[in-house]
Amino acid sequence: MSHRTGGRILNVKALARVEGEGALHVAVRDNEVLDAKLQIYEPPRFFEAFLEGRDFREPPDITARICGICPVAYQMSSCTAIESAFGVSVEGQLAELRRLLYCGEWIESHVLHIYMLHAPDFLGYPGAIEMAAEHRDLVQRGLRMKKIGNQLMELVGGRAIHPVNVRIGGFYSSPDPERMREMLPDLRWALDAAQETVDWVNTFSFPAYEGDWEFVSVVQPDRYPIMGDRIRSASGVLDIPVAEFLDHFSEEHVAHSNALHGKWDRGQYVVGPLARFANAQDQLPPGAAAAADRVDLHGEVRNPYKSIIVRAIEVVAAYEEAIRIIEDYVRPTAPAIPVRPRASVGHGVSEAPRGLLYHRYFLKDDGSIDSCDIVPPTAQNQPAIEHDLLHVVEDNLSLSDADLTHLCEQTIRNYDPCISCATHFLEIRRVDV
Amino acid sequence: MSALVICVGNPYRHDDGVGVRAYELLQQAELAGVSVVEETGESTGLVARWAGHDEVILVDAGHADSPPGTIHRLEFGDGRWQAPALPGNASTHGLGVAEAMQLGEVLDQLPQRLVLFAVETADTSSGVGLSPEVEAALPDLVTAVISELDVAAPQPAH
Repeated sequence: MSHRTGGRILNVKALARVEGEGALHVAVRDNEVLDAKLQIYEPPRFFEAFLEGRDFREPPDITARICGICPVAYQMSSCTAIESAFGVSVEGQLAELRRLLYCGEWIESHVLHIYMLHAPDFLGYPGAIEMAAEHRDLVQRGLRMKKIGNQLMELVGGRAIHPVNVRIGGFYSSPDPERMREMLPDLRWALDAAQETVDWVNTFSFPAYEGDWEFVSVVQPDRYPIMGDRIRSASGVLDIPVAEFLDHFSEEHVAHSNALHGKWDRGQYVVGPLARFANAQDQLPPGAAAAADRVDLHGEVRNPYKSIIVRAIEVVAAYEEAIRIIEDYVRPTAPAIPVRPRASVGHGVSEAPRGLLYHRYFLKDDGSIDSCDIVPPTAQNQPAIEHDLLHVVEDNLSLSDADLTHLCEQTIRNYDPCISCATHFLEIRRVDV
Repeated sequence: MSALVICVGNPYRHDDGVGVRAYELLQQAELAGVSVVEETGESTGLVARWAGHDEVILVDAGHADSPPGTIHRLEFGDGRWQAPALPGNASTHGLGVAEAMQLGEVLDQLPQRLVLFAVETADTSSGVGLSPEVEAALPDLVTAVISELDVAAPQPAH
């Protein structure tokens, strides 16, 4: 951060508690905000190029590595895209198993974000470590909740990180019903803990700000959306099959970031928990619906800081859905349905914890990939994040640089941005003794 | 409980994948009484993973302004380890390996012995394959991990 004569420049070179890397730049002159930019070092189009010429069976394993925290989203969007290209659809218990695996990812990702990344902002701690020192029981509760999400991933996906059991058409093997049911006591504990989490985050104070974007998410006819084949905006102006996504939404290059910015032909939009909630609150399972009533959240929640409450409600929903799916589970006769390659194009979409994730594959007769497109949720939310930053800075110019910078970081974390969870190498500083 | 080796890395970011290669080689070595696992490096996942293990070895890519391929050995609590401070740290992950050690300490969930092997990287841009210097360090890395574990009659892993 630095001061310059006649104005203020806020710079954060690396954003803490944002998955991946990123940088923030805000410029203010004479009480006017000139600029608010979020730089994202996204693995630009590497994976799209890397997949060209590869076999149709490879994307679930390869794209799962794009993000450490949401591998299932990449697997599911790629699977449904390729399956639709080949004219097949995974239904019944196999679809339920996919939803269960996805619930594990929502739990892991949301609980991590709520407890370790976002809550410290609201409680005035510089980070999760400092918060853990003073709120051990709370953090232990969050870690146990997250671990149960992990175990779901392991049970269905074969292992907790980068699941290896997912394939086009279903799974390599289906989980044993007995082992599934062994998880029920833990899941019931976690469901109670999730309800307590909703009440806990609802006690936070939320900066006053409302965004004027449109909410866009996947929708499913009969349930809260995770995987589906239609996309809708909460106002109803958009209601399209997934195949028309790129007719309405595009990505554009901006000079300050190597991530593409999402662009809708109708204006500014956001994806993620707030969008799903706006589109499908009526479809929440009973416990999550009761939680929403209890904290009096309804329909379009336009204060992005309150996304932490909506995430907590979605965690309740994910545990409820996991319990329901396990209780009703009957082992499918085959772990996958057969697929036959053909020259075609397929579109797939699903709700990553941080929002809509779109994949498109052009495939050749032999099943090899001619080309593909991947539109991740954070790229779509980036314009809204910068819009929020402009307004938040404008409304809070009386704050010190340090407090204003912190408020900006908190504002970015509202969107749980996944800014390339791509490198994990460690910065080491050695001291000689 | 048995010793645990946790390997962290991303094979699609060149040298950042050294941990994943080490994971494959250590698995092939079939070390008796040793579990070898892969993790993303996310801190709470690491703390949950090493719970109940007395001896844990982490294998990761690292950066300490040394020549590429240099193998750094750091033992938690030996005074030579200094984690980057939050917030505003230069780590590429919001909460990563360094924060896992801090979190484990705060929550009293550190293994009795925690050793980190980090291989100095040359290139962590998008792409597959290790730089020659990092590739060349793999046999020594695997040998170092195995020696650290003090397991009987290890199979050569390369």
